[in-house]
Amino acid sequence: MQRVFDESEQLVCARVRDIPDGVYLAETFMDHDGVELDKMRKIRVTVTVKDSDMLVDLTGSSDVCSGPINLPLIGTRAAVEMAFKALTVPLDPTNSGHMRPLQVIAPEHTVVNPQYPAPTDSYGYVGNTLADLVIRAMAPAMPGRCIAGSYQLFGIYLLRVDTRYGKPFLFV
Amino acid sequence: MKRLAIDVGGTFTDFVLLAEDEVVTIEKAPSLPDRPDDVFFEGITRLEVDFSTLETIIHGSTLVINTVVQARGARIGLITTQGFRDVLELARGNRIDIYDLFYKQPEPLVPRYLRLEVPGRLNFRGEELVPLDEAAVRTAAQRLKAQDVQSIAVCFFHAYANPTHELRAAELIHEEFPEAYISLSHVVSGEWREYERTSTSVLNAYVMPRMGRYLAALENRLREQHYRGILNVVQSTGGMLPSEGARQTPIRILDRGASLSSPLSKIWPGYHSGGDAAGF
Repeated sequence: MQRVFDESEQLVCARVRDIPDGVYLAETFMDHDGVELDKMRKIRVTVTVKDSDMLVDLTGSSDVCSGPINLPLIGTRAAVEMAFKALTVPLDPTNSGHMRPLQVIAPEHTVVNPQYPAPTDSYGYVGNTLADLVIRAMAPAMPGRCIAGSYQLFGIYLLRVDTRYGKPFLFV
Repeated sequence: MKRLAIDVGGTFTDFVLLAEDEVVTIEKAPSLPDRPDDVFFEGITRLEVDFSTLETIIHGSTLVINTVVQARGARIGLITTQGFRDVLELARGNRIDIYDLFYKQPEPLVPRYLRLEVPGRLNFRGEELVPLDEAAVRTAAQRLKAQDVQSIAVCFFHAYANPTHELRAAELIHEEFPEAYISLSHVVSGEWREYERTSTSVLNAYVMPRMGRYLAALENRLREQHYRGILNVVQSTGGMLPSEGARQTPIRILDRGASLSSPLSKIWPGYHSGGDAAGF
């Protein structure tokens, strides 16, 4: 089994090495935290690629919120890891070897690493946003492998993707 | 009385005969994908089984899963509640493979022009809100017949709570199109949630003609050999289903391999390896 982890690590390292070394940034704002409705909350991602390593630093994201959008560290790691694997070796059977070249920094007492008793009931919004931000940050370095961000919360949506029935559209 | 188990896989067909005194006889033959029933009887001949001493035949088959994986199922139609023919294509809003950013949903097994709607509505308690439009069911059956489908899935809203509309529709379809195989959602999967029930009924319709022909052929040949016992088919759950039932719901025998191995290794640990149980 150790050999499987090692081979996965080698494979993902080779893919990271293909990405040009550099610092890649992306940030966005949550409309509010669910309680303080007049305050936007920032999520900031700084990705540093050096040789076969990737460092995702979330320093600069908002402090812990009084509303429930805080995302505990385990969720923060999972969201970044999802994006990391999706960008490098999406179709390989997943194991921990894939995550060895990835380091995640999330300062304590922030929206991406809250401590007790911070409310965390609606953690999913920041989780989705984080994965989207990592992908958006890497878009200039990895053309053709990055997709646009997804939605957060919505009432209803209508869409057409099949051009046989007319022009594609999206109505949110 | 003796019991015989026959497992048809993609490569080999295995035969295990269990006599009353627990004497076990094993036979093995290469599978013939185009003539699975011939292999079935070839093994029986080689084991020199006397049908009059045989009580049960237990049959496992990969025919259903292979039909699905190789996309060799029937041309099918769907008759469903008015307003809901796109349930099958809308499916769920999830990305099944989370790491594949370019994931695309598979094409539905029934194209839109073969998904027909009929008026009629039940609520979740099974109470009738709108009676079934029988003329519309007949018209739909005729249209699907004209389109050369072999098999028709019927999935009505809340049929799990009250099957009467689906049962009546089956009678009407049979009158208009007697050759068609009919897959009714409340028989296949008596569960709520329309997408899952529709999808399962459609997949059942897809494998029904091929599996139905195969099992009917086995039943006929066994009858010719004067076999009076039961022909049981192994379900995905590891349980058994009489052949007549399996012809109606072949989807229940989709995945027989893994399901059979585990119970077998429990009752007979020595079968897989010298004493150590290894079910997979």
